[in-house]
Amino acid sequence: MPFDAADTAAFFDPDMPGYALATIGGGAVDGLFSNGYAEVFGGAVGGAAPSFCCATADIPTVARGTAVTIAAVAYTVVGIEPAGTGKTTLRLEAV
Amino acid sequence: MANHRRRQIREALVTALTGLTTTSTRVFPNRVYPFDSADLPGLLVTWAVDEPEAITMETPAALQSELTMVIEGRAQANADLDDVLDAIDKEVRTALYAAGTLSGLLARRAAVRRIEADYEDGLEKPVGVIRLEYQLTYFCREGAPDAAP
Repeated sequence: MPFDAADTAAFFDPDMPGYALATIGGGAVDGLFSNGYAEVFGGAVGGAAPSFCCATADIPTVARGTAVTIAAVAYTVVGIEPAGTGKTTLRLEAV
Repeated sequence: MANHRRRQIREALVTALTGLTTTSTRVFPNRVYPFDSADLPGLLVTWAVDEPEAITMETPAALQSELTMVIEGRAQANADLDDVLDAIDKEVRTALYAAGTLSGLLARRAAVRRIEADYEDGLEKPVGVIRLEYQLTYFCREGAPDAAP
């Protein structure tokens, strides 16, 4: 049975760990928010690296600079990383 | 016994660089752990190369050391990251020029020889670093790197 939109949506169910309802470009989008630790410059500086993973079909017009709000925190899209499996990860930058 | 001359120089540099407008008291010598948001914008003071050369014939000889110190400014910002790094550059260079020979620890005022910058965007805000490479000259004695000859 082919993987379809309903199967993809299961990954972004509200019961999933990390689930968040984001406002992207004015519309509500289900997805998974991650704000884990990362380092740059080979470990010289460390901090949070926010990202949001959602169904690719739910963000047809997203581009670098698109405004994203998650839990009342404002971000800007700085990276768009489609996985090729119907899901896309948006790398975010805090405003 | 006093500390190594290089340590004395490093500590004097930290003193001279503490309290600048942009980096305040966030000046770290020998930092090996990552800077976090509380440490930014900040300065890392490290040395890279020390090249001693005997300048007298007797034993122990007097040594002239050419020391390369790196003052690395680190900052995190969105739109004005370049401005922050340039401000760090200006303040560090102004302070080290005013510090002269570090109360006689150096043979002459430290000279900035190279400046480079780099940027990465893997965190919630872009991070930039600016590296100011300084050439310092100090003297010590063979077998006694803690004192002037």
